[in-house]
Amino acid sequence: MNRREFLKKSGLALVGGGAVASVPEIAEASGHAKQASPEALGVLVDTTLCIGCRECERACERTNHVADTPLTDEYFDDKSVFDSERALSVNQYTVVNKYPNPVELGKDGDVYVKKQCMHCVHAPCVSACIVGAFKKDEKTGAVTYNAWECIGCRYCMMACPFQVPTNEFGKAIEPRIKKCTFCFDRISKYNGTPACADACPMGAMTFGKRSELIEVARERIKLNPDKYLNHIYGEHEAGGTSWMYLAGMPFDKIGFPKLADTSPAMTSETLMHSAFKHWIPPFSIYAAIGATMWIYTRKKQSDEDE
Amino acid sequence: MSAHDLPRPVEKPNFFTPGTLALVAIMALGAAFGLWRYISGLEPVTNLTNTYPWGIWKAINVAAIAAYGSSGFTLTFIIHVLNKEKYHSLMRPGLIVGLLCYTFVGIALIVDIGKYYDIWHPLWPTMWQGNSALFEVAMCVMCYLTVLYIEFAPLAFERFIGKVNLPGALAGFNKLTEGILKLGRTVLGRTMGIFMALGITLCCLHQATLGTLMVITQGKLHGLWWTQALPLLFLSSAAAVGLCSAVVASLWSSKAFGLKYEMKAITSLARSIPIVIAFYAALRIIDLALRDSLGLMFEGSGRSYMFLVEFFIGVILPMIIFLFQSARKSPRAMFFASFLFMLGIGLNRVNTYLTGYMPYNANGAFYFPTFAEIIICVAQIAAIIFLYRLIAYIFPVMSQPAKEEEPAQAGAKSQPQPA
Repeated sequence: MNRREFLKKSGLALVGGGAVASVPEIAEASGHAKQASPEALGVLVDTTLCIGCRECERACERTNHVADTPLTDEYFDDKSVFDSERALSVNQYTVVNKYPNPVELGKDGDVYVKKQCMHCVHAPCVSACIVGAFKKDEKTGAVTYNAWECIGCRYCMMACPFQVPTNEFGKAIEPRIKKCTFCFDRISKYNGTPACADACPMGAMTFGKRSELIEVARERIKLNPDKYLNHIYGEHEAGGTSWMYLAGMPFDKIGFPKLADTSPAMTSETLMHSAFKHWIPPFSIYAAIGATMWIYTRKKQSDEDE
Repeated sequence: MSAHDLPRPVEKPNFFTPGTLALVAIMALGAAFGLWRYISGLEPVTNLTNTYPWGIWKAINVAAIAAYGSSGFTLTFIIHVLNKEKYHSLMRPGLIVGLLCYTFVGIALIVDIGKYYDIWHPLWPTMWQGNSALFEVAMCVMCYLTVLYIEFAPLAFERFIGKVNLPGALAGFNKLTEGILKLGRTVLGRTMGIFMALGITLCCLHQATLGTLMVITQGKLHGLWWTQALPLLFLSSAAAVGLCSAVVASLWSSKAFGLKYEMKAITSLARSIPIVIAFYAALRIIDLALRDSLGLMFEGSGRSYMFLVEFFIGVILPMIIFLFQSARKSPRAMFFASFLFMLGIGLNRVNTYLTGYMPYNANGAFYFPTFAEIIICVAQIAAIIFLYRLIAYIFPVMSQPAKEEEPAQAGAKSQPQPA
């Protein structure tokens, strides 16, 4: 959808809110696409390097103690998990999936793709959360979660374009949302590296400043145009993500959704803020109703007087 | 309606009928399953998953029931803002439907959300989140619920002023209670207009935002339902369905209580209803056309069939029925058309929240509610019907001819314009 269409439809929707804000005001509101801060961190995942050893999964579990019953070493050594595509769960912040590779890329067939929260630049879960339990840490770029504030409405799960947040449906009391934390304590307090990136024996994950990682990715594509698709997944998808991917085959074949370049959060926030711009629309509706009520009551009284 | 027809509590027939007992049975079953949900969490009770985190409790018990609750604000607008007194006999049934529907939106959320005991969190200023459509809905619904109970208060004043008779030791407070009620009647009698306009404003805002709620699922919601015009579509359809639920409530309760149908008011109101429906239907089509998505309804998928049923049987067909004068004079046809439109808009909410929702990694999995989910959902609707009946027996809701032996009632006399 281009900008013109976007404006046209925002205008249509604006009337729906009974709003009286003019179209230029929406244009202004829609211009506030969030950008990653200059020092924001990220990870570049090179799927052509991943061998599916699952050491990242193990490191995540051992560091973050995600599962209520700790997952065993036997589980992480088991390669049969690749038989079917796994989704993220309340037991794992990250999983690796195997995809058959029909294109010869000098590799022996299969492509392995690690999956976790993408830590969107303009994160829909942060925008959706009714109580602000999800926060975007501007410095690191991590999307953090506060279980105490959360009320368990699961709107974040509806909002996430990558279907990342998981919910402890099985708990009657204190069910939490679970998702990758970007090892927030390690990267924010100790200048550390996310546990999974640290554990990778192949160097498939490069941790650093997001802006620099984009340069690194471009360089790799330039040096090896036959090996890589000319596409950094996450540079623009859903308004940009902290985690970005390089691949040798189309991303929709290796478990990634095809997404627009704007964040769904921006679309939603533009509507929300237009309907409440300076509180003018709500007060206008109220004033209009009050005025109508007054006019019709007067009219009735004068009718009765006659 | 003759000049003597005033709202009074229903007295005949007996409160308990086989139908009422059936409602109680469903509610009891729902309560039992509800208890199970609180003991063991959502997993064993529902079919909710990480892929389909929202189910029928959100789609039906929150989104659709909130739409049906529009009867309160649409009738308030017509009767008190536009001052069309001829519809007065519909106002109180419509208000009670609004009151009960919104109350049960709150109850549905307490059943659905994982940390129900933290439902107060959105009220706490440090947790306010102005970007969240859900936050706006929560705040507006809560404020509107308060307004609804304020609008309901005059019924209580009418019922109890002059009749306060507290039991036993409390009898000494009879005079005081009476005084408080009278003071309330005076204050509210002078300020009700403020609350009415406030209620309508709040409804316009959150009915629209219930649509905005799904805008953030951009990319995951089928093109027949995802549009930036969702707020406009939700608001216009809520206004139309509110009128229809008021018609259904009036006809159904008149029948249940052996009263004559309010056909004069309904026939007249039914001339406006197709205009509101046509406005919504036109927006729906224009929106699809603007997005070049009209073709999606013929793509032959299950979702496209759901759209065809929702739109042509649930919206266009009732609109056509409303256009016929002979139908507008028939209680049966009016009940059918109004109820059909309620089902159509209910299906629209279900389609927008559930059927049209297609997470990319569903891998063919889809959500269908469990028996327990359905029972808990239906039990809440049964409770709305049951409580409507109960309120009609206690409070002056239904307009009835004055009783011969008691020509004028104290409350009714001093309040010639029931709110």
